[in-house]
Amino acid sequence: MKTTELQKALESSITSCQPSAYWKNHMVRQIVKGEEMAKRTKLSTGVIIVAILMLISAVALAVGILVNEYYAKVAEMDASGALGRWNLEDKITFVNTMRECNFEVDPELYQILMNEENTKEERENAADRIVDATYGELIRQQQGYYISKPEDSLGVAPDPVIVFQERYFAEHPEPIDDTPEGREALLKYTDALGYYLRDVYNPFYIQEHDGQGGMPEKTAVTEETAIEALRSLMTEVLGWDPEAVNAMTPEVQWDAEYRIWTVSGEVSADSMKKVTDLRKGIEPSLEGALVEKTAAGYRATLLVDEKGNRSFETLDKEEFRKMHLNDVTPEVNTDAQEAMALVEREIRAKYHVSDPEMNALFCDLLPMGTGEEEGLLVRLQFHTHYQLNQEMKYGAVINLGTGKVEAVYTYDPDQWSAEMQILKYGAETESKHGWYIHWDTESKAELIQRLREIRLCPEHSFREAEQPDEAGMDAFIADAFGVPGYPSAVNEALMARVLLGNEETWDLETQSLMQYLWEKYHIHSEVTAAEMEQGSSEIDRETAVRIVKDAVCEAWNMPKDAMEKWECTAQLVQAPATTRHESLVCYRVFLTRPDSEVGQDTFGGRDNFNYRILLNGTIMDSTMVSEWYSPAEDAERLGRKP
Amino acid sequence: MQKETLVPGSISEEELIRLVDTYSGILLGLCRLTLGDTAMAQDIVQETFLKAWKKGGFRQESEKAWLIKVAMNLCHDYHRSRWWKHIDHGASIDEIQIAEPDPADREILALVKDLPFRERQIVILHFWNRMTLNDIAQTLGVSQSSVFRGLEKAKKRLKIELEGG
Repeated sequence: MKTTELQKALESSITSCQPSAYWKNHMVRQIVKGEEMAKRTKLSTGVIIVAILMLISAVALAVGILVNEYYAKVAEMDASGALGRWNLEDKITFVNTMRECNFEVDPELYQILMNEENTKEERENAADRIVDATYGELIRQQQGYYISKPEDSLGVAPDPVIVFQERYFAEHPEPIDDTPEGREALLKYTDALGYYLRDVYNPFYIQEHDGQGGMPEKTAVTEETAIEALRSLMTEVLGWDPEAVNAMTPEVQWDAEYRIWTVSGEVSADSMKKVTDLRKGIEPSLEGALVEKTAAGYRATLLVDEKGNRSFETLDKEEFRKMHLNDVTPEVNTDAQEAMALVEREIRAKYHVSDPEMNALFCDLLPMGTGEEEGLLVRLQFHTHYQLNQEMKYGAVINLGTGKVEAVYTYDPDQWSAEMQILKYGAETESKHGWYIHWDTESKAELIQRLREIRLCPEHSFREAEQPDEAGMDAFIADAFGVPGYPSAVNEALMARVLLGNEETWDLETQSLMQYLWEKYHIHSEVTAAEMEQGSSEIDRETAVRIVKDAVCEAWNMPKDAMEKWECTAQLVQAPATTRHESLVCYRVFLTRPDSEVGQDTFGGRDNFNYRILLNGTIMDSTMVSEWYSPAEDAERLGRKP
Repeated sequence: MQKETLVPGSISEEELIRLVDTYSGILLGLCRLTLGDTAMAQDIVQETFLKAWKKGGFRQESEKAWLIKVAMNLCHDYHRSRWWKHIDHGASIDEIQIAEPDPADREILALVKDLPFRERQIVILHFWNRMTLNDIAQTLGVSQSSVFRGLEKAKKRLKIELEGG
């Protein structure tokens, strides 16, 4: 094709439309009169959902809250990263938005927040308490916190979903679990927000995992940004003449080994005459590494790494890299948007998913780790409901370095291997009854039946002919899972090891599905149902600490006040529970023997006690971690004979 | 020549009528080609003129460039939204007359319509509006290098032959 042919075709197409005079006049009239423009496009399902959202908002508007505007502002703050930063400035913006939209804001706290004479901490604390008063309870529920004291405000930002739900619950104060309709309504309500946020701001949601790095990204700082950083250094920090700085020709080098830009630029000595404070401009301590006097003027040099960190003091790359060292500096070649497109294509192909079905799903991205290899892997999860009650449909793992889709899988158990189905059954039953030994006879028989189907332990095939009694079943299971004589040791984790091999050998699909199962069914809990029943009178934090200290003193035969100097932290936490719908709230009390007492007496080392106490005062479990010395070392340390 | 003298806030009804008369056809064709949908193109043209009215005038850039920029960005917004895929695409024949392209042009236009959305925008702006890479980058709000890459990819897909001069 020739470019002239292309140009002719484009021209003919673009000039082929002749709008009628009626349409043009109508349009002008509507614009000038400020009338609402009639749209030609018809509503899609998504738009209808948003219309529901608008309707709900309109109801809220009637009670005086500018909900639409409010959601939009909060969503914008979220998209711009303000809710992630959540500094004083962001908090002020948020609280002011709340006030503008007629939310109730404590006037005294607001005064503290806005008074610039107060310290930053005081102002931030006031903002936290204002936000907490409206959103604290929901945030705690979402994050699994249980903090009963009002002064324990969380100091975290409410995301758009929390903001949305707060309104929903304000309008629907009845408990949503009471009726399926109520739950359905909430799901619809939240999904409507989800579609809105997804389509307007971001097609995916990046989940954060504790202890893991953020989403690996392509090099954030470009050559242009690095030059811009140098210019701002010269004008804003060194106070050089902006005209001369803008006129200079910067030199830029990218060091692939250290992943650092080196940017330098020179201005003429003449231009420095305009600098009013030469001492600021040519600070002696800055001369040399950062600012050099050249034959014709002055040269400034700056290091900028790919994440935007800058070095003003030293040009030692190794030192600079150490200061800003990350666990991994992955070579990312595929961004999240591209990754999602690649994965969607694979899912469509593998599972024959139609466009509408795919478009109805929400996508979450989870960075898988910070290691050299894991740092580039991202898991994508496609599910049906926005954040709430996620019903998983498909998943995938992609390598952002190579752009290769490493695994694609479905969360539909019917399409899983027999082993995975057994593990699902195990997880489900363990979540109801605890470890295998506590299962009822029917559940045990069902497990055995499933194991026979995959011919696990063929030496026991003789049992197929008979229906063993409970003791026989226990023996069979203990044998099958490699712990003969100890059926009480059989649990989901052991079953997974036997059926799938050691965890280290699992492929990405297996890892993902097992993680999903165990999260869904709260595996890793050894708490029995009886222990879950909490007493009516809840103990407070101090009492929890006291109970632990008494228990330790008693166990180690120490005087009651022996632990007064021990370091102690006590937190209310939500522990994994044994049923799907309930969770277990307890205190985690952590006691550490002070350095001054280490080695004085019986322990021979530094000890840490980690207890979990139910709110009714029952000790749930405890662990003691010690740095033990050998007898010889201990004796040497204490100056005794072994 | 394009008029560049409008001052912010000074747009009058007459000016709006002039803008609509002058550019509604081109914008409609542009959006229709970009999105492949006449009804949606109509909505975007309406929104573009509404923005022009609200803006009240144009500063340094020409009114044509400004209108194209706004229309292109609205096209992008519509495209980005997944809802548009579900919209019933119904043209309003009584309001717009559309001339049928030549068979040769039709073939080329079909190739253009098959381009990925961003590449299609770049091709239209570059080959139809003779815009430089820098101008396209500013119009679409992307970097010059991504415009360059997009254009190169599109050229390969369209199998465009280099012509002397």
